[in-house]
Order: sequence, then C-alpha cells, then structure tokens
Amino acid sequence: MTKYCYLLTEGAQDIAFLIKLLKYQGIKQIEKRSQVDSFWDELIPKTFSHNDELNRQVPVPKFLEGDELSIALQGAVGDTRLVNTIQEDLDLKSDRHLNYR
Amino acid sequence: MNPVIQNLQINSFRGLKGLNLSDLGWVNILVGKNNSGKTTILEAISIVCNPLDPFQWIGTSERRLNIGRAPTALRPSLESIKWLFPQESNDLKARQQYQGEIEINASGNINISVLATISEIYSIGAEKADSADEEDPSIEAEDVNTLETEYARSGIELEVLSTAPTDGQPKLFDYEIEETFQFWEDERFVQRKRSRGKALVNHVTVYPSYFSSDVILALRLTQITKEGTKNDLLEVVKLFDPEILDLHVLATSQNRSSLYIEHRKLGLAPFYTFGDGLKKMLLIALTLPLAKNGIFLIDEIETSIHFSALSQVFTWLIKACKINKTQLFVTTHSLEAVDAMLDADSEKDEVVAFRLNDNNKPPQRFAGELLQRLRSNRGLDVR
Repeated sequence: MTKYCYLLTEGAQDIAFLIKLLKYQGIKQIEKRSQVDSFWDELIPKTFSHNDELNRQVPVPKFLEGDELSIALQGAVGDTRLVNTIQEDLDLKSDRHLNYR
Repeated sequence: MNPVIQNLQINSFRGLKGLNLSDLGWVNILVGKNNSGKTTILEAISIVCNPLDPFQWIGTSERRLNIGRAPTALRPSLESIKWLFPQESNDLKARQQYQGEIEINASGNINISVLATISEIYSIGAEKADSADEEDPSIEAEDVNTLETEYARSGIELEVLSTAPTDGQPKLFDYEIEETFQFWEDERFVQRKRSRGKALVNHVTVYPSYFSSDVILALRLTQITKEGTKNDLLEVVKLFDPEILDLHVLATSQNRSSLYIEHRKLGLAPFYTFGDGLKKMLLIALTLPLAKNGIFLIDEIETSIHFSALSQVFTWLIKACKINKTQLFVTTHSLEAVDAMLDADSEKDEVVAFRLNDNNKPPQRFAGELLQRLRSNRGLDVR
C-alpha cells in the first residue's frame, strides 16, 4: 500500500537539494502530469495565471516516487508563506483523505 | 446582521445523515461530485422554510420526478414523497413497512426545527372519489368482482412537527406545531383542515428544469416595474444581447398577458423565442423578489450561461440579493462559476464554499481570505 508524504520547504533550492538526497534512496522525480498519483490532484493548479502574473512560474509541487512511496515536495516561496501554504494545502486535502482537523 | 440560516443541521433527509453546514454566509456555493448531496441540501432547506405546507412536500418530492415539465400537485406521487425519507434497506418487504424520519434544524436569524415521520395507511373507501375524471378501462375491469361502493385505499400519512420561528430567541418547547397530512394512491390531494398558510421563511428554488408560466412572469415584471427596479434587470438582460431595448408586459387576449422583449432588430418578440441563458437569467431576476428577506436556492447555476457572462451576472445577482436581504445557496460543477462569484464578492467575506465529500465525511468549508487565496493566488481547485 502506497504511503504518502508531504514535505514543505522554504524555496526552490531546498527542493533541489531534497530531490538529490532522495535520489540516493532510489526515489525518482516524476516528470509527467499523467504519472502523478491521483492522491495529489488537489495540489495541482487548474487555472492560469498565477496571482494575475503572466510571467511567473505556476507553483506546482515536485512529485517523487519510490517503492510504495509517493512524495509531494512543496515550496512556499519565502518563509512568510510557509504557514499560509501548509494551511491551503491541508485544507484542500483534509477530510477527503487525511482525517486531519 | 446574521444570515437567515447560519447553521444547518440535516440529521436525516434522503441520503444525507448527520450533515452539518456551519457558519453559512450570505452567498453559499455547494460543490462536490455527482450524487454527493448538493441538490438534496437545497431540498432540505426548502422543506425547513415551509414544513407545514403539504404542497411544499409534494412540490419538493416531485421536482426530480417532473424533469422538463411543471410539477403537478393534483395527484402526488407517494413513491417520491417516501423517497424524501432515508431509505436504508434494499429489502422491498422491509421498505413497504418502513417508517422513516426526517430531522432538519436551521438556526441563525431565524430558528426552525423540523421532525417528520411517515407511515403507510389503508382504508376502505366508499367511492373512487377524485379519480372519476381519469377513467382507465383496465382498472374498471379489475373492479368487476368488488363491490361498487367499497374499495381498498392505500396511502401514506405524513406527520410534521415544527418549531415556530423564534427570531433567534431561545425556545420553550422543542416542537410546538404539529400537522398531519394523508396522501392516497391515485387520488387528488385535498387539504381539508385550512387554507395554505404563509411559509415560515420566504424561499424560491430555481432548478435546471424550473418552469414558470408566461402569465406569472408577466405579473412579476409588472411588480418589478412598479417597484422601479426594471432598469437593473435590463442591464443584466443586455449582457446576453446588447440589442435588447426594453421589457414589456403585453395583453395577448382579453384575460391573458405575456412577457415581450423589445429588440432593436426584431421589434417586439415573445421572450420565449430567445436563448436559454437569457431566459434563465430573466427567470432568476423575476423570481428573486419572492425570496425577499428569505432564501434563494439555485441548482446548477451555470447551466445555460456562457462563462464569459458569469462574472457580470453574479455581480448583479449578489448585489440584488443584498438589496433584498436574501441569502443565496447555489450548487455548481463549474470552477468558472466559483471564480465569478468570488470576483463578484466585493467585500471578500460573504462567499462561503462547501465541498461535499464522499463516505459521510464532513463537508469542507472554504471561506474569506483562504478561499480567495486558494483560487486567486494558487489556482487550486476547491470542487
């Protein structure tokens, strides 16, 4: 049975570091949207543009997969966004999947 | 000021059990997968607004039955009334003897609790009253062996207990008003006790197959014209067709009048010749005043309306609801409709979205700044 893991970091460098680190555990990054476990569907934006900004990257977590393990690596884009990001993500996931609250 | 209903507790109604919607807003969006109970919540609200009127029960129960045509309360479908009650057994025998219970509580600006039970009833009738105008030769053939003056009747008895609305004051007794209604198979429902009372809360439901007669719409336009709010309505109608100049009520015969649209190219044209989106909007706009100081329920709000018009339509709708002090409940499958309502919510705290979940898990509530952030900043899906 697949275990799901959500990791929240401050920014892109942390994510890049974690991806390299997890690679040594045999955990690989998923490149295609169609290969992402449907458990994470809510964390993938459905609409463009992000915050009305045409030139900014759309904030999507990095998804990784190992043996019966599915990981979402979320970047908060700054430490001031850490609390908001985890609140937004958990609120979307809670009740439906996590029994959180 | 509190919304009309701030907390809704549906303990048992159709397939819903122990469902709580807390901290409702003035504008409430219900989202969720098919069969998650969105329409059922609207039905429960319409019952709680008017529990002592048997025609409310008939109308609500038959809304799903009469797809595409006007509901008729002449001969209520007992089956559809039974299905308002929770059905837990798939054993047909058990279902025949089933005694269901509906319990809905609403609190806020007004407090109402409804407890309803249903039971099977039988009697020997003296004559086949009410059905004489629909003679069916096959039924007559079956009746050959029975006495002409006696026949077995089966039906259901609906017992409704309701609190009187208390305007938020604590109540002395749990249930203060009791009404019992009997509905008989293949018989016209006649309310013998007294004439129809006023609903406890003004409310109107608009659903995709909602039907309203031309005459009623004409009457409502007359009312809106007298109230001096026709120009607001015209502005919305023009979103669908900028060539529309005005709306009129014209007499089509000695005792009948209809709604006409004055169009720059077409001249005066009956309103029903226009597109479904325009008709739906007109229907919503003309029906809204009936929910003044009450509740307006719209099922599948995005149906027939192109997404490009949604934002302006909802801006008007939310403004009109505010003027009428009307609490709005809508169901939708459209993310564009959710966004349009968030755009229209100028104060950013009136729209509340509830996502209904599977497997009796509690609904997820999104509101205020968090809801705005999820949609505007993150582009995430709340459905």
